Amino acid sequence: MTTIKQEIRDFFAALIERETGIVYGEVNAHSLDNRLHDVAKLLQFADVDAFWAEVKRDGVKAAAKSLLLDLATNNETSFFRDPEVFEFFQKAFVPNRPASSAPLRIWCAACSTGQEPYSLAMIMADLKTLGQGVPYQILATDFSERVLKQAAGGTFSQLEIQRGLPAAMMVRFFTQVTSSASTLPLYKIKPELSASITFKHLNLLTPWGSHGPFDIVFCRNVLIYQNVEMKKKVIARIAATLAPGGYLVLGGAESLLGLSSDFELERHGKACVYRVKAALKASA
Amino acid sequence: MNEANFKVLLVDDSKAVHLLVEEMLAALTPSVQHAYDGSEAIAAAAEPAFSADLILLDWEMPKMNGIDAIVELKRLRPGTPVVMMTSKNAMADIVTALERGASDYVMKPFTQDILLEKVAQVASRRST
Repeated sequence: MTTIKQEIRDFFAALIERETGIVYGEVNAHSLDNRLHDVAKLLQFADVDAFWAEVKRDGVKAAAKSLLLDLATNNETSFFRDPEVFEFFQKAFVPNRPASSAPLRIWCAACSTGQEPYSLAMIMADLKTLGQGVPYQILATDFSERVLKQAAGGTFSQLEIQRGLPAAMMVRFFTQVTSSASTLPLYKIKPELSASITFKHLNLLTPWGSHGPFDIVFCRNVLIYQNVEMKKKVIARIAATLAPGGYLVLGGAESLLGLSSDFELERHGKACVYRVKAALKASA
Repeated sequence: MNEANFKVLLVDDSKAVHLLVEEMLAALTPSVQHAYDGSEAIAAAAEPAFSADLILLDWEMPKMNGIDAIVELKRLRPGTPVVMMTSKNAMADIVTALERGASDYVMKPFTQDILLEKVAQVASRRST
């Protein structure tokens, strides 16, 4: 694979940061190179130089821009990714929720291909079986239309379904469907689980209007790619959309240190989660 | 899960699968014991010195297949989780394996990520 000229990297790094807030610098230049090679290949250019020649001549066409921004966001995910987070949700968050007649409102702010909201819905179904069920609604959003479409379809390949999902849950919550594109079957979530989830396109970096309040927001492994100013803005907006006592769950390698004083850190087993301060909500 | 001492009994009639899975598991453990059909697996489990923490068990094998061997394996070693690892991917097959005592089920083909996540999940359920 040929090395990409710095001029090309700089142009696309600036474009990606402007549109998504994701920063590509020296540290992850290799990753940007890979994505540019992927885009050039998918758009059927001979190489990145040929793609660049067209961009210089005609600008970045809509298809190329959409593809590049889509690939620039990292969509790798699995069911029950970071199990300690789901253990917190199941054993601490739902049981300790103050008695309320309102449904539990959950927001998966970067739902990718849907494994996170479906994992939460499976836990809610399990709790219902144990007699601890509560009414709930999940809003699942993502920046990428492509992954959102897959998430809303609720269909997973044999490789995807096996990532993190115990077989007993797969049998209980999915049906097998045949695929004309593969010799292997596909796995579709049962309607009783998808019925409580609303999928919606949303860019976290632009004002999103009013769709709260939420009792818990999952925003995992997204802000890690943003610059500090953008992180602060998004976190402040999430704080404003949380109900009193609401929780923010970040990725395992993420922290609010130096970014927000609106939350208190709580540890539940191996999980670290953030609870919005009561004073903040009282003054809001 | 104590990774340093974690031991796996791998049961499959294909030598290629043994090589592949052993390489995949190397990130987790160097300690893999090998058996090539159900009866060999049962003989290994019946040994007083048997100390595997987990059994990876193929379904279709000569002499004795995995779905027949699992019942005897669970009788001999009720505390040792068995994970089926097979190309049989019908939901009814998965239900049968779970009913006979499998802790989990890996469908071939699979990736190293899938295998290691399954092993870690099953080991963690066992220790809690």
